[in-house]
Amino acid sequence: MNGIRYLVAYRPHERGEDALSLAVTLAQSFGADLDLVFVVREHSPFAPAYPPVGREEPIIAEQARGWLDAAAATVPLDIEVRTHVRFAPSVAEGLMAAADELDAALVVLGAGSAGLVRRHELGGVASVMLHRSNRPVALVPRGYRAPGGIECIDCAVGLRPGGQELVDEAVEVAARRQLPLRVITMVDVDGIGTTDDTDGSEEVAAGRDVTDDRAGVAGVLTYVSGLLDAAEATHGAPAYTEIVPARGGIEAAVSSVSWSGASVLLVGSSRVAEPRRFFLGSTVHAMLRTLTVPVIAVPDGSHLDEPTGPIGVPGAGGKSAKKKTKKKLKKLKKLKKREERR
Amino acid sequence: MSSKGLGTASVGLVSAVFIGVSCIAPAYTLSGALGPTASAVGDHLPAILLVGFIPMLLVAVGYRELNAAMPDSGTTFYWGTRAFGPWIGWMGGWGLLAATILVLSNLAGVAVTFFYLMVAQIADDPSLAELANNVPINIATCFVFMVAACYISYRGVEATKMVQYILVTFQVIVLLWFAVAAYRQVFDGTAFDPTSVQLEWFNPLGVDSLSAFAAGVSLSVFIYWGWDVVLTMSEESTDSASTPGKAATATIFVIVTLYLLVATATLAFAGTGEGEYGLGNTDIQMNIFGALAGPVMGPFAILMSIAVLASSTASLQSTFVSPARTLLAMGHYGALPRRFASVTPRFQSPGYATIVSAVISFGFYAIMRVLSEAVLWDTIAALGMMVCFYYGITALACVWYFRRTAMRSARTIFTQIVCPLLGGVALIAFFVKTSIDSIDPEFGSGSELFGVGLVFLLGATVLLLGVVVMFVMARRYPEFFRDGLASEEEPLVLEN
Repeated sequence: MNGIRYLVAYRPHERGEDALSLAVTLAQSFGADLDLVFVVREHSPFAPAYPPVGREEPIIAEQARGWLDAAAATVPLDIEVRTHVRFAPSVAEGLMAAADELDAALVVLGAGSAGLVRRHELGGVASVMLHRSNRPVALVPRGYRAPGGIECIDCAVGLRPGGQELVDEAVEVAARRQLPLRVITMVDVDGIGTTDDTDGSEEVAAGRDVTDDRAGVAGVLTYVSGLLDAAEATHGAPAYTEIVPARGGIEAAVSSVSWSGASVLLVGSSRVAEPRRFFLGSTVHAMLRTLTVPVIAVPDGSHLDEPTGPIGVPGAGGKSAKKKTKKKLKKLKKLKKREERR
Repeated sequence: MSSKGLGTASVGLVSAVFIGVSCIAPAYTLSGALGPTASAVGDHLPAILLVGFIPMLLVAVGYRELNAAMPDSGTTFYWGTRAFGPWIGWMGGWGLLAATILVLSNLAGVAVTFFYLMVAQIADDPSLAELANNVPINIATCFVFMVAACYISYRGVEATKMVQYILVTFQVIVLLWFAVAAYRQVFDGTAFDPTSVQLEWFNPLGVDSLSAFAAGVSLSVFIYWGWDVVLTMSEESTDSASTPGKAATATIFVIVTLYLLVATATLAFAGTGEGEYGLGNTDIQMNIFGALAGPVMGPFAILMSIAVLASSTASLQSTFVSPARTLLAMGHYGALPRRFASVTPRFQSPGYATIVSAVISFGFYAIMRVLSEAVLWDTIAALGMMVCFYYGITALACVWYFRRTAMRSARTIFTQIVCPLLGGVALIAFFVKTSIDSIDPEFGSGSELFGVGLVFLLGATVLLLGVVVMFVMARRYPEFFRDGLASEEEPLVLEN
């Protein structure tokens, strides 16, 4: 145990189970412990019941304690799990306050309500968290069930500012955990601007402002590989790295990449700058509609792994770790071949 | 402020007054109760509005004491059980439930009536307003309103500060407009029956009979029902030592002034005769604003329709919360099937209880609409009785619960014993008196079934039904009725 803790926004609900499932997988892969949190929404004094009756939040809290205890009992014994009931005017506020209080390295959310087909659909809580949380937020696709362990880190990066921080974080995590890293870049969306997605093309305009001279697919790839090199220089190289150019508009690009169920995708969070709030509103949102892997939005400067803690996956030192890495590499190569055949 | 406990939100004086007034829903309340009250006490309407306030105030003082000592979503049910044991506590809870189901039906009915009135005013075609009198259309429209309000409550969506401010401001402006326009016509002599304001209107002793007085007071209890929310906000107020007192005083002042203004204006404009627009005309008593807004406000009468519609639909939604929470608490403590205690994890609302409330309210409304031609009137009258009943029980529970500890100081003797005792006894007395009077088929709107007044049937049958349900529950869930809420069992406050 290296002391990092992940916060799970748990509800006794499909979405809550999705979140718990990913949290357990991540916790096992990164050696984290879990805090299961249920935020009881406090009623606004501006919405009193007519005629006046008491508040039911205490009864909900009591039920929530039962739900959390039952959920905690399903968590494997090697993960330390604590449960917390919190009160807040909104669930998102309560989660952010709890994350600060518990110093959570990651907040894991079941991604809101959903249409029948789309795996990710941003619920109100997820939207607020993505825009305002100063800590990484993991969004779990609908119906996600743990693959047993995280075997690959994916990282989506484009021309927008903040890419370096994101790649740094991805490289650092992948290097420390001896996981293969894929840097996925939407060359068409970022570079050329021929896209079938209107939201995407506006994003292109935003991207171009920053990097006029880097337009074009080659330019994007060079730029991204520069980010990767810089990150590797600082944090060391992961076992395997690859830059995957995703072609087409956002949705096409997302489906042009083969995704492993055992990977997580890191994306930049739009928290800081107002213009980049747009990024999440369009590109990531569009990506979320098509994606089937968990997405972790990482605000600049935050870490989902212990930045200074001891390196190493628990129970994966020496030989066995190397074996594991080899296995992961094989899997990844298979994925790549499949991709090429398309 | 702690992130762990409840009640971190705070409201200031102005907000508290807005919340208090929004809870009363003045446009809806006056529209529903002015006519029946005028029918009971004639031109002593202002007097009753002044006097009817007093028992409510006395009870509210006790309510506040109980709420401070045992804050629990079960309120009357919980306090009644703690003070008098499970049987009386259960019936108190039932009274609260019955009152809220009645008011839901009434709110929906008023919303339907004013919806078609508004449509007619927009289309400038009075015949459209008649649609509200078509029973199947009326019931179908009510169904739509009920489903919408129930859905909003189920989703746990709440009105925001801005919504409440706009709603309250709009209602107050329209009601003042109505009053000023009515007075102007009185002074211009163009009013229907210009009558100058008389001091006698304010004399409660001038009411003809004790029956009329009791009927009037139980109606005004309904009229003032809800403002006491201001008192229970003490823990949330920014300055909890003085704000609730000030807020309560300010809310009372605003409401009583507004009601008196509208009541005297209506009397001055229309008189108590039985002519077309006279308050003595039983046809318009059912819906005074519907009948008088046109002649008083002219083309702006549509504003009154909008105000009443907005006020009743907003209240419809906030009223769903009340029975749902009571059912939730009763289920939670084992006084009802456990299902009522279920909370939807996603919306954090008492989902099952909310849906049950909606089904019962709608079913009740549909049956009433078929049985009675004056459904709004009769539900209001029965509602007044029911509020008297459960507020009476609440007040007496306060007296009994604090009977030993209250003697410690003069303040607690006053707030925990004297006030609630007077208020509780008065309300129970008005309840009994009105119940007996309402057996007469001529009572209220004059609706009857099997030669018995419909209001009595509504009130008495609902309570008797409660007794029956209580015995069924006692057989199925004997534990609660055997043990009640043990005194060791602290109310669910948050220690976390």
